Amino acid sequence: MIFLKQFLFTVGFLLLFGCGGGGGGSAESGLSTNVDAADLATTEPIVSTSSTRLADNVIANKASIRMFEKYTIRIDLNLIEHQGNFRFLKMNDRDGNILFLGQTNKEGEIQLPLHITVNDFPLNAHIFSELASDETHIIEVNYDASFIQ
Amino acid sequence: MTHHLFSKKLRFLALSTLLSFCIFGAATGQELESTRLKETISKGTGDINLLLAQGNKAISPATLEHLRSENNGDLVLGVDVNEAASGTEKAATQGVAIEALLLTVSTDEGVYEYTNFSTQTKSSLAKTSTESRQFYHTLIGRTGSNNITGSGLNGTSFDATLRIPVDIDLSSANSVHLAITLLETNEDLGDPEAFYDYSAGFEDLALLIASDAEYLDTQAAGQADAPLVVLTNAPASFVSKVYYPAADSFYMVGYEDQFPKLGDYDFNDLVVAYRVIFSLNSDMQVTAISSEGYLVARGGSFDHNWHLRIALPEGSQAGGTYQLYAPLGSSQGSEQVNAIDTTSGLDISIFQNTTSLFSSPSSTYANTIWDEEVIQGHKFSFEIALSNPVSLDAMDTAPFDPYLYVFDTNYEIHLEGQSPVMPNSNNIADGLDTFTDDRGYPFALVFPEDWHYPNEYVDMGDAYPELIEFIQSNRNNKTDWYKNGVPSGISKRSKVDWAW
Repeated sequence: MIFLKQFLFTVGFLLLFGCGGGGGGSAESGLSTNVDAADLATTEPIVSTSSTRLADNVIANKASIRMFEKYTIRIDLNLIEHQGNFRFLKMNDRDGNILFLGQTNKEGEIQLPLHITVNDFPLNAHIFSELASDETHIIEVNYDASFIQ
Repeated sequence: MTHHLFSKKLRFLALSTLLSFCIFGAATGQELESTRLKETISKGTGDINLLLAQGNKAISPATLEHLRSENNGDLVLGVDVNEAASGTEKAATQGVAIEALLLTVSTDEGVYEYTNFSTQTKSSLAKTSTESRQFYHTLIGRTGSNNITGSGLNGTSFDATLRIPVDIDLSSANSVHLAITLLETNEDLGDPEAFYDYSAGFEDLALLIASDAEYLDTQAAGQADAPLVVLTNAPASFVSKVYYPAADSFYMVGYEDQFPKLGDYDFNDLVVAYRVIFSLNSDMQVTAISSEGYLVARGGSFDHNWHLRIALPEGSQAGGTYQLYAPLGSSQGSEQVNAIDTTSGLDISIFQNTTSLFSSPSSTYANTIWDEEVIQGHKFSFEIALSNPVSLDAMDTAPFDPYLYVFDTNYEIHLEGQSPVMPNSNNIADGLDTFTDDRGYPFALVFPEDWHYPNEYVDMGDAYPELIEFIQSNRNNKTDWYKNGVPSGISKRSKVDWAW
């Protein structure tokens, strides 16, 4: 097994991963942002009291309790050399819960829109074929707020 | 295959096949039918006498030859897949993989061995203690399928077919034995290995006539929901799946149903668990949508309908059904199957009239009072197929639009950021098209499945003291606040209690 831990950021994550989809683009990062990401930046603090009860605390207009975020992950399969005729991808979260499982195009980039919480990281992408001689590539994806779509 | 006396068998094949038909017909005068075998696959292995039916009834070699001939030279076995849940295995889909098979035919002329076989499906799997995957043929089915139940099958239902090419006449066989070994998968890797593992359960086998074999192949029991299925005869027509939130977990959505009035922030007026799965073709286009979920708790006295709406691109056409399952002991029947109307998009009123559908004999509420007797809620599933595949980019995004219609107020309650959709509800008439209250809180929230809803009247900030810091920090701190509830303030029920 080949274990490629977070090498994407040192090699250059655009080779393997990026974040795409709708919304306006961030020229600096090459990653998309959208209204949700903007919300994070503009949220005003809540009016704090000593009580933790929601009924005793008023929160600002754009504050959110949302747990899940939309992440689009791109995987460029051209960098994986397998001899098999089939290419399979399994994406799971830190607890092993499967987010995607199936075949992929043998060549080229695929995009996976996922909906997960920050606690689900790191994710793992397993890329394998139908041949035992083709080793499974595992790519670890750590949390990056800029992946939020 | 090992070729013993290969030259002889060809000489006899054509004549003996014809002869066996005559012998069989004259001897029995009975219509050939599928027959359940006595011996089974147990704990992953089977040593099966193909001349012995259940009840110790003999199967004549002539009958076996007739079956082989009718199936174009294959012995076709039906397999009743009977597995304990593991990975994403469930009643609707279960599977095993075959590691090896040896069919041994003994005749006066010699012994013939066959190791080639095929099934309808295969998957790339890692054997136990290894992490390298390769193709193995798989057998997929579901619990209680009623696919073929002929008199020779004694009521057992069969799921998948196993075909073994045999190129000799079996009518003169002295013995025909099948040794079969299921693959012990590396379950530590999760699915697909966990799904295709074998348990101690018995896999029944039957010799099939051609029409039953064809019927089972057409039914393809459990295949649509199984992971990483490659069709043996159509490997290019693969299906991938993207799961929201994950293959083995659910969203938990909780509501405050007093909209637009302030609620008590226990977010338990209705609690529903659900997940959604997109099936994708080779171009990563969505070809089908499925979903399943459970009624978990009802802490409000208002009557509701719970909807799940997944917006489809304009012009999309789709068709399918949804099933509503009543828990054991319910007086409302065990199962309802309803067609899904997608003429105005995918918006299914799944749990209707929740006060009557989900009522506790001892309480106004259901499962929200501390130490109250708990009851199980209904569950649902639905599947729709899109007439034309839709790009994943063009699809509605998770968590979609799980919303509540409240009969008592004629208001609909959606997640923050969604808009009302019912033309006759009071939302639009009253100009109430957003779903946050005067303090800035939403009326509906989606949580991970390990969130335990607060007990009745317990403010979620009391039940989860770290929640306020999570909000104050713009969701940067205490991101696992929902795992640190005050035990006396939250429901004791976990997934194993509501996911029946």
